[in-house]
Amino acid sequence: MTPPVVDCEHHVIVDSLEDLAPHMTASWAKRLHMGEFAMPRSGPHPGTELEFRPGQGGADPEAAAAALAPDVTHVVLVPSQPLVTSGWLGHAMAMVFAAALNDHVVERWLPADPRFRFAISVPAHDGEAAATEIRRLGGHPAAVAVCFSPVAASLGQRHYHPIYAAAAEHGLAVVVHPGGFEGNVVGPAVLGGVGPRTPEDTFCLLPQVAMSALSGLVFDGVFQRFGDLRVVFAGFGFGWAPPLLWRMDAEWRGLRIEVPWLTQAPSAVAAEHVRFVVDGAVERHPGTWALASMLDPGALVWGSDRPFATDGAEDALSGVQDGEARARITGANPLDSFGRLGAQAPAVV
Amino acid sequence: MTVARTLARRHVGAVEDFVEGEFKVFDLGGRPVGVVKTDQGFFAIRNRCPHQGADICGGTVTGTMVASEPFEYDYSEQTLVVACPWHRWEFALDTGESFGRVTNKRLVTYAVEVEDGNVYVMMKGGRTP
Repeated sequence: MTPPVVDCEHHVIVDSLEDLAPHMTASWAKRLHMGEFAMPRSGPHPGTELEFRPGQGGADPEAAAAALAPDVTHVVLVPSQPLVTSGWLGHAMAMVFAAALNDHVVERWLPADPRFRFAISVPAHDGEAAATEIRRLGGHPAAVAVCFSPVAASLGQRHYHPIYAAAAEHGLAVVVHPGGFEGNVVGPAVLGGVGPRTPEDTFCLLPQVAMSALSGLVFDGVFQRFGDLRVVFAGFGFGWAPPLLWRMDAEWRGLRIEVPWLTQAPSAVAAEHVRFVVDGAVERHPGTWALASMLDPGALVWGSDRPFATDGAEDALSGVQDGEARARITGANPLDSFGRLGAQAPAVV
Repeated sequence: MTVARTLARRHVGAVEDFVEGEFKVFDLGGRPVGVVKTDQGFFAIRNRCPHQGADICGGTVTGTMVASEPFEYDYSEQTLVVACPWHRWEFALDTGESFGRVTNKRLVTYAVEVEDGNVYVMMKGGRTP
């Protein structure tokens, strides 16, 4: 049997509102047209002016399928533009936009290749509305995750509990990904200090959001409440996590009485529940990979970050010399992280 | 031929010499041993934190938070621990084990006997006075 190779982070781009209008009420479509709605940039990070035209794989499912490496057996589609909505002030519009895009993925992308699975996009402004959207599509056989970018609340807070509960109900992993507006405006998760003033600031400081999120998830006891939940950090890399988890363990030993619901070390909680998509674009230094030895062997998963990444799968994991470790990162670990992938027969093209 | 291991009984004072919750530290055969009176009886431990060697008997004897649901604290008076003054790692007074399993290391503990108003620490080796 072909060994599984799972791309945990393959983005979907939508070029035109016309692709989404059929998936919303006529009045909402009118509302967007009247407001001169512009599709969010497909490369949402500030300073990124990449464009993905049909045929390049960003918005064309058939082209994306044709571009997949032949050994890839499963692809988790993570729509890119709904992530941007953490920076929108119109919460209802964000949900309508994301729901329409979810329907677009189901209708246009899933039929294009049997390897395609998808993460249900849910803007996190309104936990109950997000949960409703998760329950609307959670039963779809190709749904394997939900995906959102953090808003200003810590991921440990009750704000997100309806999302976690709905995801857990359906056995869906939770993918957490930057939205691109972190620190820029009120709404998305904040960065420390005075906030970023350049795109370089933003890129370099994004791990701050992930660090707060991981700390909140573990110390606030989210995994005590939602015992089967898996959270996958995508777009943040992993290099920030090992020192943080070490520090969390050290503080927990002395201050356990503050969080008595943690009956094992934070790093052990994370090993069970949290995964990190390797950011092959920036995590190339051997020192970064040395840090990986501080993580649980199941912690890392591979994602191509297509169409944003300019590298193939091999480059993304260039720091992994050990063949067994590589196979875990591309196969066993993703299958464990996205439980719904394993529940289905491996897709064969 | 086997040699029976005997416990030496070392007198450390009268019951009334002890203040509840406060360790008194003795040199018993070259070993620093702290003895404390609590509402659950006397306990004796070696005055050395297994983490980094602090004089743990300078720490606090207290009940502690036991496992609970998130943000629903459950303080147990019955679970007696000593919290190290250096890093606040907690160890159970009765077993010497790390409470909450923050480490596999444990305190050295000694049995204590109280007889006719006198307190004795039971230690391996030596002769019984």
